[in-house]
Amino acid sequence: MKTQNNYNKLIDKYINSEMTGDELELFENELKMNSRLKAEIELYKKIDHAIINDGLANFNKKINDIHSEHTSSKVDHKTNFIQKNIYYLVAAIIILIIAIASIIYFSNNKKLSNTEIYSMYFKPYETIKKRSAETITNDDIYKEALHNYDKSNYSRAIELFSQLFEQDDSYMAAYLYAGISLMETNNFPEAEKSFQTIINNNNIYYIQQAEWYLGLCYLKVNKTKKAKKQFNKIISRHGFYENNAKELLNKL
Amino acid sequence: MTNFSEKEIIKGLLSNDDIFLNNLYETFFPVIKRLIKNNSGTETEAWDIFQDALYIIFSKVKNNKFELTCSFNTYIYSICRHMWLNHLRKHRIKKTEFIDCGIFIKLTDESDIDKEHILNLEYFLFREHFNKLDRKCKKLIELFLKELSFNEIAKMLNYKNALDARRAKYLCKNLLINRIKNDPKYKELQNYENSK
Repeated sequence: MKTQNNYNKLIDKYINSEMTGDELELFENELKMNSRLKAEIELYKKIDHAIINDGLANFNKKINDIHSEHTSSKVDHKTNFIQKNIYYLVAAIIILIIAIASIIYFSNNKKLSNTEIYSMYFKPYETIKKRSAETITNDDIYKEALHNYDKSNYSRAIELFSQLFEQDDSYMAAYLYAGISLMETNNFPEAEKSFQTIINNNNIYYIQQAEWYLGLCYLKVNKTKKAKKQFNKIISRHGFYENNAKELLNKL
Repeated sequence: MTNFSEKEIIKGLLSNDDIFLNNLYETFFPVIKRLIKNNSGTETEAWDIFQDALYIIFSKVKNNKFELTCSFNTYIYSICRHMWLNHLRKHRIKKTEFIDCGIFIKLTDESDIDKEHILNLEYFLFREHFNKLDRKCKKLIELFLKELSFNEIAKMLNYKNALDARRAKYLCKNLLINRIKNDPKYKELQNYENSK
């Protein structure tokens, strides 16, 4: 044990550049021949490196946060929805019971309408709370617009996004949230334009979301052929909305 | 599928851009999840593989070793595929047919990827043990690694003198190293490293 301690003390001294003269020379000669000692020194260095450099640890935290947001968002969304809309929910359940009873009563296999399918799949895209590395010239208007979007004040959000576009029309995130706000206010032709801007820009960050919401716009205004084409395009890209698009197409 | 250029990957990873990382996740994780689930894995295992692949790419970018010779889609898919095959082999899981759902290439730097993977696992293990040390020990080691003198450290952390601080630092570091060496996970990593 004592020998091991002395050995560790020597390694510590060497790592800390506290060895000099003969002691250093002897140690370095030993190091050349002793592979175990060499491995030990490497371990000390790797540990120091891991302590000082937190880059990978920060990266790990970020991607785990993103994963948790995605895996828990379904549950959270459900919980929030129940809390906020309990009366609507009760009404919806009653309507659902009547609807099921009607279906059984009439015994027909009526297909769902586009609007019904739309309401099953449309939900506003959640804002990403943290800042992006993309720069924006008028951050205050953008923040206020997002704040209104988060609070479901979509008309106000649209006004603010319009103001923003007058000064800076290059920020693609704003087009996504503006498009969804326009959908929420039933202005589908303008919403389509907003999503088309992102698609024409071929913006890697928002193109998947834009394509999905554009498909939903087509669906809502009964451009069924165009909607089908759009959802097939999403499926062929094997992206994030692939499964949703497949499911939705089956219902059309 | 949305593709990312080498420049976009480097910029996005180095800046730790939330939107970029979110899109990276939304674009590629579904495919990797399908790959792993198609081949005897679970969603949790898919996430582990995907994370490990991202750590490797992140480390390569940080060390200026990241170079794309194919599309990023193909690259990340190929890394995950390679790592999952390693996992199946390591756990002796036999599969009659490997079902692919993406384009892959034979990676020219497979051994580098394996080494980087082990280094990353070690990195997290070392940090885990470091974070388990008591607060004063952690601070002491950190200050020392920031190259503060033992005199300064003694003043900041209320040690009697520099010699006392030096002795305490040695004991803390020794404790950390012993805990790491006695961790079965570290031993397993060493065995794996030696087998490569």
